[in-house]
Amino acid sequence: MQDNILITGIGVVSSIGLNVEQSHDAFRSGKRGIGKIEFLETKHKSDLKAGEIKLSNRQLLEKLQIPDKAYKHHTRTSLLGILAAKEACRSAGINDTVPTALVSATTVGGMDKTEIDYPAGNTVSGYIATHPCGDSTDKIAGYLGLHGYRTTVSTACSSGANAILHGARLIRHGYVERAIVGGVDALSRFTLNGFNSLMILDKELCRPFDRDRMGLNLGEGAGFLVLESGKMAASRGSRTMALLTGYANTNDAYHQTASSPEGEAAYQAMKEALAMSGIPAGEVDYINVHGTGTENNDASEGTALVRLFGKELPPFSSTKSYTGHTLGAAAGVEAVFSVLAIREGMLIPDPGFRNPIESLGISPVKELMEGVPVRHVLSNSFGFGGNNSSLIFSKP
Amino acid sequence: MAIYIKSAEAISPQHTFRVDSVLAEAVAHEKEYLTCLHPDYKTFFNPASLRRMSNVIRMGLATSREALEKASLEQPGAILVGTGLGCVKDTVKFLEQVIGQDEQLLNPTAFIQSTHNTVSGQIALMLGCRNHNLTFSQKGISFETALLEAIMLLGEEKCDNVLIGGVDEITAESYALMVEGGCARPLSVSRTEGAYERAVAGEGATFFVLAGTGSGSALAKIDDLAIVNSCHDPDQASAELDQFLGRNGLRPEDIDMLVSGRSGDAVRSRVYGRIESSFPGSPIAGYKHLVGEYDSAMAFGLFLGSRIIAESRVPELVLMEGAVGRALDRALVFNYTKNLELSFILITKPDS
Repeated sequence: MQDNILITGIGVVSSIGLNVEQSHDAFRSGKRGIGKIEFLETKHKSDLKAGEIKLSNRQLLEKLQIPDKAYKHHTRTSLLGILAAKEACRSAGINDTVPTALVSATTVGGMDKTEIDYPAGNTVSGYIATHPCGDSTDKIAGYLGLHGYRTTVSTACSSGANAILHGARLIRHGYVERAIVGGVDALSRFTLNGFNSLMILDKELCRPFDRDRMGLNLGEGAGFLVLESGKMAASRGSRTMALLTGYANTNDAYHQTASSPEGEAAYQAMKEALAMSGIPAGEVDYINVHGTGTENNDASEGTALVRLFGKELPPFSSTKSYTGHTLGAAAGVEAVFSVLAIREGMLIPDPGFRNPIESLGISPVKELMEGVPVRHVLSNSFGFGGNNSSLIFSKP
Repeated sequence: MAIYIKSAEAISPQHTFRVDSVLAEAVAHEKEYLTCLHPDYKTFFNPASLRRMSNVIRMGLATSREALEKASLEQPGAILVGTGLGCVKDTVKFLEQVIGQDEQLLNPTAFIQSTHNTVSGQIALMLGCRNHNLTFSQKGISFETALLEAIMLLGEEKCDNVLIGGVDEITAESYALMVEGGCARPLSVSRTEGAYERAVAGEGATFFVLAGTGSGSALAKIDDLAIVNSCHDPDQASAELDQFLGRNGLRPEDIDMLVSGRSGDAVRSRVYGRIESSFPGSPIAGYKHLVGEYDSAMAFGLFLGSRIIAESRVPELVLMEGAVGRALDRALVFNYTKNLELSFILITKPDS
């Protein structure tokens, strides 16, 4: 079995930037992407904020040089996915036709289009064909000229991490030498109202891990990594940005939406991922927490973190303060940020934070730091259905 | 690496669940699409829980429970689900509420239950199972990619056994959209009438317990799996088939039985025809005329294939072509979908 999984490319799009460089600039300037909703047609434009990408679907089509008449084959989800996957491939310098798997993730799928056209009975829009989760993945593959194995994971907010670990597995078992992995989700009325009905949205900017947190802000985006076997990377002379050294998925088996107070599955997922990496907890230099800003997640995840690391936690932060919670894309987007943290020796701050959760007494990174040693990063993504995933990234 | 099917259970539009003899006699259906024969769920769940559960959840949970019981297993090492459309009823329900109530004062229940991993999450809750839990949704190969994950997990010896299933439900709304989208024909319309050379729509939940070792009883062994995301024509299908048989050191005459996903879809029948005609000696079993076409139907194909191998017998209802003359030790289960997805699963008798 292949040992090393190398990350040779990254691509991301979110409300803080249309690519990796813009995202990096946003962390530097402290510019958060959550704000007024402009493009999504919703009755909540005036009362809810979101991390919306300020490009209409037509503008996305143009940017990708997709002809207008092809729009019926696309959704906002597929367009965002293509944008990020394209950047990942370019950053990896892929210019061959070596079989490459594509493992994507999404919760919204084509619902952004379905929710407009199904009630209107507008079947010529093509929404019936674009609705299924797998369709955005097919469209990404089509655009990038990938003809091999592709699939889509859909496990709510941990989807992207599970796509990454399935892709890594494919390489380790020798099915492919290279895989593009990650996730994508577009804003939709369906999810905005879904989370609103659960009363876990913050009407203001979210405050992950803060004593007075009020909930999450939804976001949209896509994040992809290019994973390669050591053999493939060496033969291409590709530059390794980071290694994927550990991953784990566990289930809380506690409640359909809430996490257990002790954060049992979160604790197990982190512990297993670390065990797989062989890295002692004390050598983790940064944790990109799931940190949605909800009462439940942050208390539960915080408890699990303290159980595992003790009160002297490594530096941690939730980048959902910047991008909002991008659901199926979250783990992919945050994987890219984790690799960026390693590459730049960067500790990303959490601008939403003011006061620690009293029972935990832990505080995230307060100010951006660059050029510091970031050897190992832990990234958490926890979803509905008790689905908990953790990933470990390491400096090559 | 060989994977052993320790149990295989299915809730389907036919007599397949908790019956002495699977598919002993055909069930007539009156709707324009095929819907499942549901067991008395009150024997599985309490009334309060049952009231909240859509069909996809009920079928998924009951079938999983049955598969685990038959395999004498309480906690699987992993839970994997493949579903093409997920929880259709709750998705439509919540969407209609969003529109109908103008995005105000919405009840979250349907939203919570609409996520694709609701079934796998509910199975974990039902069992108190904290292990690896994934849901795949890639149209007509959703189940097959879950199966690939299962094979890799068992190969890593990360766990000794896996609970894996394919599940998809149909509702009046989703059926109407399939007809609109040109993917389904009404049951009452004969296959050859005019433009109606399409599949009949169906639904089902099919779950298996798979293990990395054959100790104890097993229905069948999975020797190999192939997934082709885009197969454009019969020539490509032939080439893929040759490669699949070749890498297993087999020739067509080594296959005793075919379990075909042939569905009545005229366009796809060219690929089915090419594959089937590559095995002149093998009898062919089909099942979509009985359970319908849906994204995870291949799971039912594997169920049927494993029962045929285990019982050395082919139910009359499924035998489409040829006669069963010789021992049924090795079967090829295959599927070709409207999305051009092609898959092969090679299964054999456990002790061979």
